[in-house]
Parts: sequence; C-alpha cells; structure tokens
Amino acid sequence: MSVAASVEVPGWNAPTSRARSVLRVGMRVGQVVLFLAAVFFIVAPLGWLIVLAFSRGFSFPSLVPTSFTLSWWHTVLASPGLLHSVVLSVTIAPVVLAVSMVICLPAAYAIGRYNFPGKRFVLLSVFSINAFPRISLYIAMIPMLFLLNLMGTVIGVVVVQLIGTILFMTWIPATGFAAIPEELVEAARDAGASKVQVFWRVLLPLCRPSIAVAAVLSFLAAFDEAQGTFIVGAPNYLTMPVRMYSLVLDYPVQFAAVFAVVLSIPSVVLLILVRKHLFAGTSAAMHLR
Amino acid sequence: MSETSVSTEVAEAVVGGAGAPGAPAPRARRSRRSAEGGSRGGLAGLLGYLPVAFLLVFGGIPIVFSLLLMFGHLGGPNAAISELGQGEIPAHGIGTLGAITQLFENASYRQDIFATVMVFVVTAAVVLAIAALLTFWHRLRPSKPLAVLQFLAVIPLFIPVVIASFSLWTFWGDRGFTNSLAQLAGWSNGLIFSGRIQGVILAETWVSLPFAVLLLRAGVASLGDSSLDAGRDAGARPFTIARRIMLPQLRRECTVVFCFTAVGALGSFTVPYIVGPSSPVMLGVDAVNTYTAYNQPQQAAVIGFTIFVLAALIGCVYALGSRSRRVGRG
Amino acid sequence: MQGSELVLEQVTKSFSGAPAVDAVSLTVRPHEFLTLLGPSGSGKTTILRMVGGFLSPDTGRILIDGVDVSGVPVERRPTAMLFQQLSLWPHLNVSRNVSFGLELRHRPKQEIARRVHELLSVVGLAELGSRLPAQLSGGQQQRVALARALALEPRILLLDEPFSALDTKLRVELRTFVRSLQREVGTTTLLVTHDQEEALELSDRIVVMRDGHVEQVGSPTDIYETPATTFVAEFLGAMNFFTGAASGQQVRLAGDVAVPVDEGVLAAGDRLEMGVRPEDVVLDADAGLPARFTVEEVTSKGHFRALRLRCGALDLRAFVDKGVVVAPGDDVAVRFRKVHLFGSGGGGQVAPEAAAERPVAAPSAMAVRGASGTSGSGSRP
Repeated sequence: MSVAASVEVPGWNAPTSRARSVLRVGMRVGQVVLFLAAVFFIVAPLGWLIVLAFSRGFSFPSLVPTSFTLSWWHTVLASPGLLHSVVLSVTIAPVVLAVSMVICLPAAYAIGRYNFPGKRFVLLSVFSINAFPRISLYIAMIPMLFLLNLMGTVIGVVVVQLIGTILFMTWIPATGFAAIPEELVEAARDAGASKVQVFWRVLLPLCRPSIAVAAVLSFLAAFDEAQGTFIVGAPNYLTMPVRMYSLVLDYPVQFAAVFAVVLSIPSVVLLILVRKHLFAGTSAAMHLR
Repeated sequence: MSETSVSTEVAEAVVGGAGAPGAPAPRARRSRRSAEGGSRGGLAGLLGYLPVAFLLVFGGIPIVFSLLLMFGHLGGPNAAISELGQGEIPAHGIGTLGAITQLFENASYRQDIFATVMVFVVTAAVVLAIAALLTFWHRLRPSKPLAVLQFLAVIPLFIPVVIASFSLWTFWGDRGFTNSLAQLAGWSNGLIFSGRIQGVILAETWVSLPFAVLLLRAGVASLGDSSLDAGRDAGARPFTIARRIMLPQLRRECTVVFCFTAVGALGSFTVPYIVGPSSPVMLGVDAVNTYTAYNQPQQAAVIGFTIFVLAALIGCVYALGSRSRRVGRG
Repeated sequence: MQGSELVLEQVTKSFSGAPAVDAVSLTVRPHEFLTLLGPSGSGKTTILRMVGGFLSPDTGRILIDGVDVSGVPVERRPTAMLFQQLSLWPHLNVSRNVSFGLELRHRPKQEIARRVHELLSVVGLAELGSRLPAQLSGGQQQRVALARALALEPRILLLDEPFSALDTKLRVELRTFVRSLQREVGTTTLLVTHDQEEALELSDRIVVMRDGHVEQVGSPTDIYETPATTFVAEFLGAMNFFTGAASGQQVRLAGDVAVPVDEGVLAAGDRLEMGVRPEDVVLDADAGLPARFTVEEVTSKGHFRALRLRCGALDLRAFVDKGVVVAPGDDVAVRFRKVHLFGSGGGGQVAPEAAAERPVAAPSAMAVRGASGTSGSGSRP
C-alpha cells in the first residue's frame, strides 16, 4: 500500500516557544491598539458632544471647557421655533408609522403566508427602491410631488418619510409571519378556530415581536429622516433633524450640541428597548444562505 | 440608518427560503402552504401589491417624469415644476442633451463626480476592511477586546445620521477635540478632517460600520467550526485560513457590504452637507443645492441620474461578486 | 509505516470550573487503533481536541513519541482530525480539498498532483477530483475528508465521531473501510464515539470514559466479558442487574432466589450487585434456578428473540435463539451461563481477580453445565 510508503515521513518541528510568545504578545498589543483606536474613533465624538452640551465655552486648544453650565439647555428649551419643530416631529412620525402599517402589514402577511403571482416581483420592488441612492430618489420625486401639489405640504413630508419605512415594515413582519410553523395553524384549526380567529389569536400574537421591531425601525427612520424632509417640507415644515442643518451653520456649537443630545434620546431609548430582537432579527435576516 | 439599503437577494433568501428569526422553514411546509395559497391567491396578491402601488406612484413613475425633465420635456407632468424653475433647456423633438452637456462641460461638476466616486470607493473599502478584520479575527481567536470592539462598532446604528454628522464635524473640526490635541502635542499642522473630503470618508465610515459588522458577524457565524478547525489541522495559520477558507466562502457577504456601503455613501446628503467641504461637493449635496439654492430642477434631475448611473456601476460590481461565488459553489 | 506513541499524563481540563477531563493518564501504542467510548459529557471529545491541539490542558502533559506537545499549536502538530460534521471546504473541489495542506507545505506541483490522485484512489474516489463537496453524498464527503486528513501524513489520526452523520448502511461500510485502511497504513488512530458497536468492531483497545475519568481500559473482548463496573457493563451490551447478599457459596436475591457461586469469592453477608447478560440466560426445562420464571413478553428481533421474564420482584431480560418455542404465560426454569458480581454501589468489582467470569449458575448439581460458553481471560475451568 502506497499511502505511507510513497512519502517521506515529514519531520515536525518541535515548538520554538520564543517565537510563539513574541507572536502572542504582538497579537495582544495589536488588539489593544485596535481597541483604543476604535474607542477613540467611535465613542469619543459622542462623548465630546455631551461635554459640549454642558460647557460654557472653550479656549482653544484647551481640551476642557472654561466652565460647565446648563444655560444652553435653558436657551434651547425656551426657543419657540424649536418647540414647533419638536411638535412637528412627534406628530408626523407617528402618522407616517400608522400609514406605513396600513400599507405594508397586509402585504407582509400575504408575502409571509401565501404564494401569489408576482410575489418575487413585490419583494424585488420593495428592495430595489432601497437599493437606489436615496438622495437621487428624492430629487426624482420632485416633479411628481409638484404635479400632485404636495411640495411644501405636510402630506408631501409624510410621503417622503414613508419611502424609508416600506422596506422595514414589509420585510421584517413578512419573515416573522413566514417563520410561524404551519403546524401551529393546523393545530388551531383542529381545535375549531376559524381562519379569522387563527389570524387574530395565533398568527398576529406570534408575529408581534417582529412587528414591534419593524415599528421601532420605521418610526426612527421617519423621525430621523432629514434630507427628504428638507427638500419637500422646507421652509414650512422644519422637523427636528432638518432644524439641525441650520443650527450647525448659524448657532453656537454648544446650542446645537444640546439640541443634538435631545434629538438622539428617542433613538437611543427605543433601539435599546428592542436591541435583543433587533440583533436576533438582523442576523437571521442577513443570513444569506 | 436611513441611508442604508438592503438587497433583493437578501430578501429572497430570507422570505422565500430559510425562514426568519429562529427556525428554518422546511420545504415541505412551504409547498403545502403554496397549495393552499391557490384559492386565496387573488386576495393575497391584492394585499401584497399595496406597497408596490405606493412605490410605483412615488418612486417608479416619478423617475420617468424626472427622466423626461432631464431630456427637456418641460410640459405635461413636468409643467408645474418647470414653471417655477430657471435655466431650463427645452427639448426639440425627442429630447435635448443640453442640460447634460451643460453640466458635464463644467469642470467643477466633473470634480464633484470624481470626489463622489473617491468617497464611496474608499469608504466601502475601508468599512469592508475594518469589519472583516474585526469579525474574522474574532471568529478565529475569540477574545474579550474583540467582542467589545464588535459591540462598539454597532453603536452608530443608534445615533441619527444628522447627530452623527454634527458630532463628527465638531470633534474633527478646526476647534474640535482632535485639533486641540494636535496643537497641544505641538503639531502645528493640526489634525482637521471637517470641511475636507477625508472628513466625509471618515464620517461615512462611521455611519456605515454597524451594517457591515452585523452582516459579516452573521456571515462568519455561519461558517462551521469543523471547516475552520480542518484548516488549522492542515497547517494553515489564522491569516491563511481567513484568506483561503473564510474569504472565499464569504465572498457574497463581502460584496454585499462593499456595494451597500458604496451606494449608501453615494446617495447620502446629510454627511457630506455637514462634514464636507464646499468644493468639491458630493453629488448628493450638489443635487439638493442645484434644486433648492439655484432653483434648477432640470439640472438637479441630471445630477440625480448621474448618481443613478454610478449606482448601476456598483450594481455591476455586486452582480460580479455574487456571480463568481455561485460558480465557486457549483 | 508511520505511527507514533501517544501518552497522556495526568491531563486535566475544566470548562468554567467544571472538570471535563479529570487527571486522565493514557498510553496509545504505535499503530494502535484506540477508541474513547462514553456517553456525551464523558470528556472523550475534550481529550481528542486536546491531542489535536484545539484545546490545551489545564494541567498535565501530552507526549507524542516522547516529545511534550502541550504548547504546540494545531497547525504544527503531527496529528490530523476527521470531524463529526461534514467539514470539507465548500468552495474548493475535491482535489483542492485534499491538496490544501500540501500546498501550504510548498510541495512541488507534480508531487502534489500525484499524491492527491493516490489518496483519492485509496478512498475510491479518483474519478471525482473535480467535483465540489456539495455534489457528493455524505459518505463520499467523509471519504474525501479522510483523504484530506491522510494527506497531512499524520503520525496520529484523530477520528471525532466521523460516522455519526451518516445513515446506517453507509456507516457500516465506511467504518469497515476505515478499519482496513488503518491496518494497512498503520497510523496510530484515536477514535471518539458513543456507539458501542463501532467501538467493539474497530478497536484494538477501548477506553470507556465516564464523567471525565477513565472507567476501564482493555480489548473489546476484555471489556465486554469483564466489565469493571456496572457502568461499563451497561454501556457495552445489555445486562440485568439484581441486588443480593452473599451467603456462603450463594448469592441470595429477592424472592429467595439463590444463585450459587464458587467458593472463596465472597465473604458472607456482603451486599452486592449481580449482573447477567441477557444472552447468558439459558432456558432449561430440566434444571435451573430453584425459582421458576413466568414469560411476560416475547419480541422477535430477527435472528434472536428477546424475552421478559418475571419471578416475584425479579425482572429478567433474556435473548434466546429464535428456535426456542415460548409464549407469554409459560413457566420456565432458567440458568445463567455466567454472572458478574459488583460491589453494592455498582462501583468496583467485588473480587477483581475472579472477574465475575465465574460461570455461576444453577443449583450446585448443575454447576458443571453452567461452565459452558464462557470465554473471558479470567475464566476458570
């Protein structure tokens, strides 16, 4: 038999422990350097923002503010234009969410539970609209919005914010509906539930987590949307994120910092609330094979 | 977050195939459902097409209008907008290339295109490199620092893009933290990214990182332990395993990360508007300025289509990347 | 023939505080086929992964041909592993899967090609070199994986339940193949399995493991015929257990059934466990235990019959020839061809040197007959 006979038995090297320990130390140092760089790159700018929001001013190039103050918070909270933005943001975003649910959830149910002609086409459309560069899509929408008399109107703003929610609101609940085992439905039918009862008492409750994740992502997509809202709504409807554009240019940096901190609170809170579902959902959803 | 986008193939893989969070849907179950679906196909189809109808009215048809506008058809559906616009070049016959040539003859517009391409190519490459480094390394040699790093890399997902742009702009600005640090360290050149193309790349990287890390993390998790162990057993060092075993198997995931990061950067407005220089500007900023500040909707449409064309090129890269993988898998 | 000696010295490994392998010492002789057999969680896979270098022991040493390899990383160990899951690289074709390790060693192209062809011929897949793993059956994939492992010219081949992902027929086929190949090549081989049949068929020696320690080491025959503990006895083959007390030259079981044993084995009054393999139960109308058993259930198992017998509180399983005519409700007399005696906790054997090989059975008058059919190394005339 030739397997062993035909080849020389290779000598295997005894460990050279010094080279290995050098390598190990190198890896360790590499990790620590990477770690510090990442902290600096990702976290430090946010920390800087928070420091700014509470500082009276800086004497460049000092790294610490001259003194700390809450006065910017008073200024921001007392300015009437900003209050208007807050009201706009917290009314428009829920409206967008509601409309999005009405348009998308039935579709998500159909995609998740049934085969119908053109199902692939529906998915393709929902995804390809998101594969377009967003800003060029908004630019392309302008003639249509003019035609429908929606430019500069609140309906126009709702429409433009809806675009960014369609994918979340269709796809995530669809995967949720699709993941419910047929056996559960059959068991419910067996127990005497009608199709409508099955929907309300089995499918919908089981799909609730994915709908919740989709709702949070959609709400935030609408709430944080700035570029389309700016094109369609300005100058009448300046939501909070749109207001940031002008704040950056025209106001003291601390003023904008306070506003930014306030504006990011909903995002951070909502996303932390659904974090667990979000990551489980994304990794399942992004599971490509 | 609102600037990221996801692919059709991802969708099909999930909805049509393996199922969603948790259990994979066995094939038998799907076919049974499809048999049942026959009777309800009509209603289901009707419901299913609702989002498509919306997207058609506010996405598909507008693109056609915008195309007409670009080629100088100022009447019909475009009458309302062209009445208000300025500097329009009307079509004679089937259309005019006037607005297109006008823009492309402008040197600063060509610079804008070049800057845009550079930003999205470099951003996509950097994001892919960082995400691959983090996730591959952690898959091969799990460690606490790397686990924390992956967690940190997802933080930008939680921050609205406007806030992210603003905070990076101040942090890397001329009176920001980094420049202060550089001055204190006696580096008189300073360390300023804001208002420069490099700053745009940096900020685009910041906002794109979470998607890339999440996707590649799911990708490396799908590689079987024994497949990687077999590589070590065969005598491969970690780097070799990453290059010759992990990378070829994750070619599609990497392509997805690269292309979506690129399209995200290409179609962004907020980041370059806040962080970027006033010249050259990225095409997104250019388009918005052309419409809002110069009131030239036709020229804005041309810029919008320039962006579409660049996106189509990225789409070709995507097609290539996912195709060669399929050949590899047979 | 390449095949190294492998020695484990007091190897211990804990996972988050719980010891998975507890001070295990073991010697695998050159060219030997040794099987680590045990239920899941017994530490057998942990040992295999430590030998392969995928885990490092907390304490203790692993020596290959006398060289301590504890600090040597996987990629430089002279070991090769065949994995439980199908572990071929899906993006490489069969030939490239096999040649991967050789390419890393910068062998000349021609030599690699020749060697790959040779190895694929050995595993009977020379024609399929350009196929991708996805185009192969599970059995073929494991053959390729075997060729890939052999390509590394390992001194020690590690098999991590390599047949468990296959269906029964393929499993039997492949393990027969692996056994003959191993005999030919002579590579020292360490197999991990929880399948007793596999262990009995393949191994030169078996190491039975439980809760991180070695329960018994021996040849398949030794372990089957002379189980050191009730655990081993139960894990390999089936066994009936009865609690009893020694009384002179008898073991008294519940219901006043007495089983005679040879003199000198027992001290009077010892509590003990008596084990009887079902195939050692003989139905004998003429002579048997003083008590009679009632047949409760008869199940055909193809080439033999499985009976459930009862005598008061005693429940007894017996495997008898398919020609034996019995029906539920029948009263039968039985004798035991052979019994095994264990300490009452089920731990060590009461009289190791006696090794329970003692053909104990039947009333004393029948003691001679009881001797038939024993074959263990410790058996006495």
